[in-house]
Amino acid sequence: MKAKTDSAAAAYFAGVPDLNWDDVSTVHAVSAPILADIARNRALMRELVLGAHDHPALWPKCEEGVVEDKIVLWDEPDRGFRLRLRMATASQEEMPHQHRFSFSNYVLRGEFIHRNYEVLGAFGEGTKPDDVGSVIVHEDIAGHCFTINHAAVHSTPLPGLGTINLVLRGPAVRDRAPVIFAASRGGSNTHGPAPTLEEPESAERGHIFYRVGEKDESAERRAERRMTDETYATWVARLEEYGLI
Amino acid sequence: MSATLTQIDIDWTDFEGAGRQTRQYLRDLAADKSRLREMVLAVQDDPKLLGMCERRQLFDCIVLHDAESGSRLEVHVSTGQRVDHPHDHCFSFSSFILCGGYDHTWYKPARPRDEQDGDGATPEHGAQLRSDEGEPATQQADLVPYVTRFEQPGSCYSIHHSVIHATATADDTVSLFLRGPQEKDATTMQDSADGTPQRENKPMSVDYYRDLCAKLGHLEII
Repeated sequence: MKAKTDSAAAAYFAGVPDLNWDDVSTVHAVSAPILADIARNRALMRELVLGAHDHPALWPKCEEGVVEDKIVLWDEPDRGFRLRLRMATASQEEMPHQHRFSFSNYVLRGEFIHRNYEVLGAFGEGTKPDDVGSVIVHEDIAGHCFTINHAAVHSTPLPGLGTINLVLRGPAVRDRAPVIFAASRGGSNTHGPAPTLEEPESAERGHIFYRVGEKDESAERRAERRMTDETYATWVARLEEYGLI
Repeated sequence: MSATLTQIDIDWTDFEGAGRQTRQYLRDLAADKSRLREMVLAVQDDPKLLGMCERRQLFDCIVLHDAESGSRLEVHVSTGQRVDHPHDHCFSFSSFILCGGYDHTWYKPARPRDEQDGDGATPEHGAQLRSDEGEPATQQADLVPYVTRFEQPGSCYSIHHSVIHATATADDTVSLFLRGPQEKDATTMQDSADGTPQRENKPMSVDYYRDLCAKLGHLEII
């Protein structure tokens, strides 16, 4: 699953310890320095970004989303990690959500408000927006890194194009993870409260959708989400312009 | 120059709004070194504020302002004891890190798997923290870390009084701390496994306060 073994990236990751995501405070002590290390190693970042496009396992995982894109840079599931870029393409709504996995997030560029929530009742299909209340609000800026348990309900609405995060994630521990719109997303054909299995381009406040893994997506859906060569080239140019690669 | 706290109407029952206001206040004050220096040095001429300053286990606390509304502005200076146990507060607050930093972890009470739904959802929090008798109901062994980060210089955040968190502090850490009024009678966390309180706050002498001011000057905070 990893990139070619004679690369500087392969040498770097060979020196990275296997990660156990059972305790986020323990793994953070290891994962945060790794992310900071990669972030300040521009040559390594460049090799990883340029290597993703032609890699048979990584390239199919690179995606274009409704409000953000991702480029998968490295994947060693047997050792407990996958590295990717999370890149905003639009201003994002506040959307409290869980993840299918625990992960560490390093802010490469830009800033955003990071909220952690308490939830009345179980978080999922029956949750209403007023059941979800913020209890920690953090101003995350470039250079900040957090590690979060998959069960935590949080939101990180990126303010728009130019906010870039480096994400190191652990293995999936559930098949789908709920997301609720705390604010509506404009547009026509607005989705009401009935849950969907895809992120809608427009939705009412309170709409819930589920994020699922690649294995649970249809071939048609995968094809829709896959990053195009044109989008990839645009991102490479932007990342160069931002001084990240 | 930063606005004074008395010029700001903070409604702490609105956690989002109060957090937004107070983080902005702390950011402005952190950027106004002369104003901060003036406030810190003015404490020695205010017997009420000086009497409220404390030497706590994890940090020394200089009280810069005590509003009638219950909001209180403080400077915290680490003492050298690094590790704090998971705890909650009787009030919500915002903080801005001026120098040093600390590992900061948010905890939640662990729940049996069968209490969670198929999504592995988070159970409701507040009602489970407190027993019917209002006695401390949560012990450290029951806790699961949910989020960990290093709060570095420039970090700014707000925390609701219901949150259980812990810190591991670097040497020479200084932060601005703006708390709201007391919102509950007692915290919900036991300080230690046998319930023995670990926190003992001592009053701060004028000499100790002056030494702290000198330290803040040395650290180029004021």
